Amino acid sequence: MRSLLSRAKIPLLTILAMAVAILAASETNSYYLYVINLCMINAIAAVGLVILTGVAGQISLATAALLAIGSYSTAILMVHLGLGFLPAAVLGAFATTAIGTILAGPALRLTGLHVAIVTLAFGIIVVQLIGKGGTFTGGMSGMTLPPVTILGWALDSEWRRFIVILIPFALVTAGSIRFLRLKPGRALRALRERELAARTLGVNASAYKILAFAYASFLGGVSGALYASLKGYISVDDFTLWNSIYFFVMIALGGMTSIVGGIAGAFVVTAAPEFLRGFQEASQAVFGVLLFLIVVFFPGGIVTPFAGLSRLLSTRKKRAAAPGANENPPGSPSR
Amino acid sequence: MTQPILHFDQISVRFGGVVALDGVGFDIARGDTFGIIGPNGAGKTTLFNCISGFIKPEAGGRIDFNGKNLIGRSVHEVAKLGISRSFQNIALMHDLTGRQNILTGLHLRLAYHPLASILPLRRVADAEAQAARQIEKICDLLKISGAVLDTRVDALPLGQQKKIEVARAVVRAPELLLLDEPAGGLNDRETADLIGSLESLRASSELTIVVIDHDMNLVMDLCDQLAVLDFGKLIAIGAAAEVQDDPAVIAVYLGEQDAA
Amino acid sequence: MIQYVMAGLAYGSLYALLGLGLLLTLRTTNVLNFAQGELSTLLAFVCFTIAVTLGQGIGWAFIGSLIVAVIVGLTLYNVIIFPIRRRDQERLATVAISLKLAITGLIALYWGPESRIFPALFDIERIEIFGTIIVADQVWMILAGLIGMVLVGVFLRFTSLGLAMRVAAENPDLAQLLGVNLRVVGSAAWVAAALLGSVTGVLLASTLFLSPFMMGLVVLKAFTALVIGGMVSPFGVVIGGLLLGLLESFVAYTLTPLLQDSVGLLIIILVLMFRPRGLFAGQETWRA
Repeated sequence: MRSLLSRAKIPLLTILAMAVAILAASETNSYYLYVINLCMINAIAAVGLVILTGVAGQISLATAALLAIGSYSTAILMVHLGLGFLPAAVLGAFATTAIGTILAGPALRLTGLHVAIVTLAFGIIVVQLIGKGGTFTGGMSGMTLPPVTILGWALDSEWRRFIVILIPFALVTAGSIRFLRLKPGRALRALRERELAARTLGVNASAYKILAFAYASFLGGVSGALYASLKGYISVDDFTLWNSIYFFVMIALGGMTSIVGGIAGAFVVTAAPEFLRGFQEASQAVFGVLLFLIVVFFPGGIVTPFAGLSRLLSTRKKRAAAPGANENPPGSPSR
Repeated sequence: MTQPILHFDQISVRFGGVVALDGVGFDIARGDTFGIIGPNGAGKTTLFNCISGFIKPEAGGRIDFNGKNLIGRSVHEVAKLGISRSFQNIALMHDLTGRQNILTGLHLRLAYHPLASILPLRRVADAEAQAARQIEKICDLLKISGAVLDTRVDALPLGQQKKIEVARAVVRAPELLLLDEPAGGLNDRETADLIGSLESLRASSELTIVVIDHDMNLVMDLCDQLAVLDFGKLIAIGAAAEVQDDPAVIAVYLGEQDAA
Repeated sequence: MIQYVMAGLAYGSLYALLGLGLLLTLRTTNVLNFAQGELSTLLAFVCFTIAVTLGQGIGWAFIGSLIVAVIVGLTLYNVIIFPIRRRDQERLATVAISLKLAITGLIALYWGPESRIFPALFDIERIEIFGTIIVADQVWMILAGLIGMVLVGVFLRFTSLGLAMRVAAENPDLAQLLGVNLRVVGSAAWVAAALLGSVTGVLLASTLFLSPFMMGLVVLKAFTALVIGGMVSPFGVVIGGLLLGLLESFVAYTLTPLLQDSVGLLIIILVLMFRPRGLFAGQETWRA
């Protein structure tokens, strides 16, 4: 864990600093805390997308649908079956994993653009079906969740929700960074860059693609369940194609292949509209243009320069301390 | 008679109207260094691709590895059985270092489930540590220096890249190594260096090596047995020295020189 | 019943035209243009501005929007796409996605996010043919569709620029060796896509209403048409679009209008899962 922290130092510190500043402000206004909670929830899904789209190279425009399945499963289990939040959320996450992994099927046989289109269609159809679910899903009017308690502890304040969201967020981040740094990340990158050679080295291409879809779907489901608990009320309008596009943009901001970059991108994309609320119409345009400029001129993302810097600093320290134990020298794709 | 490590029987491959391989059949004995030579387009790489599983030969053909049929298996399954290879045009990952590239060769040896990587488990750390040691060992054997290991491969000279690709293929101690033109594009010094590495490899293990190459020095130095292909057909097979003197083989190469 | 068929053909024509736009930019410049719908919307707004805000007639406004379409197409390709044309398909698609966001944002910023009423193209509202009353707008859509398809078909088949585009679509490097100017060919593709977008945007706006988000679902149906054509065949795209339109009408007529929009998406999934080369593999008129 120590080497993990030293490597992601600067971007993590940036996020931490932002969060702390906002937390301080939220002493007076729990709205800012709500925004941070939303950022973390989106970040969880964004991490999944980094692995699926950024590293495994499967363009997915179905992220919002994954959240929808997670949210609605949780809500349905709580409302119709009376389950508590924790079991409902866990089941919801697994349901999302099962359904999302179905997309791996076509992806195994199709090219990149085809996969993008299939996920696009899937994403919209799932949400449309939810919207036509009548009383089961609340149809177009959405569903309200009963008050959320975890093991007897009621989530009735933004701070409590913050803690409940922070834990999975931290675990997902740490676990995913390890995932990318170790065997699975290497296998996925090898498949992306040198598929033929990778397979001769024993990498099971199909299995790893399915794994990538499953991983991203699971995180989407977790994100969705937490989203439902945060807002207390969900409707199909929360999970449109535009939302999927926003997730895509989050990871694009961070350079597509970087977990920390994706998280930072999630924070920026989630928080910015909230803070530009005063300039409603201008914000969407400015936002759109800015993102466009970044994607065109900085395909490596704007956060990865930070990541590169932090790696440079930490490897210098490491070379002084332990010669020869060099696992990720500069130039390696970030986790 | 011990079982050959590789047994080819009636291997034929057609691409549209072109016959790439035509009824090829022969054996390779375990522990040998076996060369496959022949003019360009004779079907050598196609044969490798059949072994790897990229190409499926026509019905009726068999490729047995230690008695197990390879045809129809997926590429990663073939690898799992213990067969490694290198590629004609180097298939390393450009923006990674030598060490990182070789590490990908240990994919099958890292004894933990991909999902286990997300947890800070002892077995994961142990597997990674062991992998690092294995990389050190193979690089000692093949004489790849630490400095080279820590450099991006696209910044390395071709000779070093070739060695790293070999290292990547053998670091997991396969039973069979397929080398496709390992000396392609190398100058004399680099070729000698490569031959030295391959000889160290042979001396230290039971590895069976099958080499495709045009460099006769390398082939003669290294190989015990040779097979000669021309237009997809096997035209000679036997001990290197004999094959070299086979009139049919000479004719093929002279013919090539005439054409050239 | 006739009304349903007409509506199906009408909307199907729009899907076909947009699908052709997608096909042209995809095959010639390797960009899956997620922003095709937004391009359409933008040009419809331009038309609206000329017609209403500047008070010129709808006829002039339409021509004006065509001219702007040419300019926009040229600019988009030469300024944005051409410099990054060497990037892989996925990165280019990412740029298109962000373009989608940017254009929508700009439209909403400049014109405001409200929906407006778009002026009618001609003063006729309904036409009577063989005793049945048909919505005029739909007739224009079908006519525009026919003309558009014929023009594109003729262009690709019989003009040298069209031939150049087909060669570039097959093999850009070979095309360059043969002396094809990729910049010209790419520009032509994007101008064509913009023109097709302009026509469909104006038609759609005049039938429904004008809004920055009006193309949201429509362009997905264009994707369906594209997929049915295997992303390769103009013939397939056209048939795909018309088929989709008719299928939608069929579903609305026999089952429920609610499921109409899902039809196209379902087709995308089914086609890509079972026949990724499209329903018309072998009809690839792109072959030079």
